[in-house]
Amino acid sequence: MTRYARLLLAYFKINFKSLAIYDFDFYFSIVGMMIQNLINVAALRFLYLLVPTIQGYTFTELLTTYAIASTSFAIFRCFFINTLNIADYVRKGKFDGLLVKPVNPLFQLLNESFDEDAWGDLAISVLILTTIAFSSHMPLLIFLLVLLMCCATSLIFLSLTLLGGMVSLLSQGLADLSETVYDFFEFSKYPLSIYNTPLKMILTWFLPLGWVAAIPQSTVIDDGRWYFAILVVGISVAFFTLVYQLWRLFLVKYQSTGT
Amino acid sequence: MTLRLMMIRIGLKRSVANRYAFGFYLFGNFISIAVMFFLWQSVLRHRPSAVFAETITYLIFMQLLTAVFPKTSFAIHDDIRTGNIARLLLRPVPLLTHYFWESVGYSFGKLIFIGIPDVILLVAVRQSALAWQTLPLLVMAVMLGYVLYFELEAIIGLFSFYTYSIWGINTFKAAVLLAVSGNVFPVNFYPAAVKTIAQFLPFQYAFGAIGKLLSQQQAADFWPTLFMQSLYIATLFGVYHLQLKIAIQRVVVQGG
Repeated sequence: MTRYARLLLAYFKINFKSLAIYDFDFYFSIVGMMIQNLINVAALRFLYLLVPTIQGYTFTELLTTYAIASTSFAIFRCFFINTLNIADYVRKGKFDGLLVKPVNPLFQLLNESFDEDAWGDLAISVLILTTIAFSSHMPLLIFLLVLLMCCATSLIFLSLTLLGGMVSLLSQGLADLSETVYDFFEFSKYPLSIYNTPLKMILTWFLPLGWVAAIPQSTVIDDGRWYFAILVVGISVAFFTLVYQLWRLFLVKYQSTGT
Repeated sequence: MTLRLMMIRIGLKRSVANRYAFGFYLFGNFISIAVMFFLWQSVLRHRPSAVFAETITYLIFMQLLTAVFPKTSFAIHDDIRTGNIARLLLRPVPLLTHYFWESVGYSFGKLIFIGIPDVILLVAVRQSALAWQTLPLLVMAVMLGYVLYFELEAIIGLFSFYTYSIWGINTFKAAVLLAVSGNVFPVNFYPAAVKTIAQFLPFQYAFGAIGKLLSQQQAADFWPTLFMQSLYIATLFGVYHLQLKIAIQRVVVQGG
């Protein structure tokens, strides 16, 4: 464990140094992502200029769902984004390098690169969440639980990316489904009530995107049922564990491209 | 002409090589459309169904344009990073010509793989029939929008001469497009102030303004948009050349 912690620190140092090479672009991307996030909020506001509520959801409620989803997704992007590059690793033969080192391949993959602009996204998302918490007099315990849930549900996005990456392992890097996580994120930004019943079922029980923001918001925040946070964390961890076991199976079956 | 056709063919071949990626892009494209469908269905549930049909038609059309329009900034960025730019600058073909015709070929491939399913969806959702007499004008607006967007991408790509990375600048561009181009949020529903600002910027003329033309039946409604597109194309062409002239003095070939 200590060895992994030391490795993590070393990876962090290297990644931050590599970002500093493009200093101007690094800051530009952080600001750009912040603006993008704020514009998304403005777009939600524009919707409420057309109607007072959407499926019974007020602007603040919809904004809360959005802020939880984007915080969770920003955590995923800050720490797990390199899983999007599995196809690239396989094609260039870099994946073989991960497999021969005496460290967990997923750990290496996760830490070999950072997403520079996600930090701005995370800052704004947490800021929006904090503003909502203050304005709606959210109890501190609930707010902390929401942050904890965001950390846990980022594992759902990681799991979906790994599932997509497995297609790359199978096709020797020719096909890549991991980028679709960005599209799946779209589903998590809105309350489940806007979708039809089959889609609601899929988003709750098959691809657990409903657990990212919609369910935590309606249970933990709106109804104050704090114990649902345990369920949200549990489901996220269980989904990740399931996908991780599948990932290990795929690693055994993996054939190098020989690049 | 032969040279241009050759460059188009190169772009097309590149797109065929990426057909698997396009398949997954199409999957993502349909997810985005599904989310927009349900969201706008909830928002416009108390409005006449024609309003919803028009909105969703517009949004599918925007998805189509976003998919097909070029990503030249990344192509320029890659060439600068890998050192290929040195080879391209030595060729007896202007840089802009090379990127433009290759991207036309690539976009044509994308149109076949991603565009056709989107068009089928668009026709299925649209309640009113297309005004066939204005279709050539709509096609012209799309083509001008393509050129306009290509120029914007090329200008952004040239920043790589200074920064060697344009992810950040591209994120910034995406934010601006999100705000004022109308490619995600229908221009018709913008608040008055944003609508006014967007009217004076080039971004809307590559997306939202073209989308609005879908519902226009009179040829006269097309001319202001076509005029503004042409005006911006000429202006951005000048900006590109000026920027290239300055940027070229900073060229540092890093490898290759």
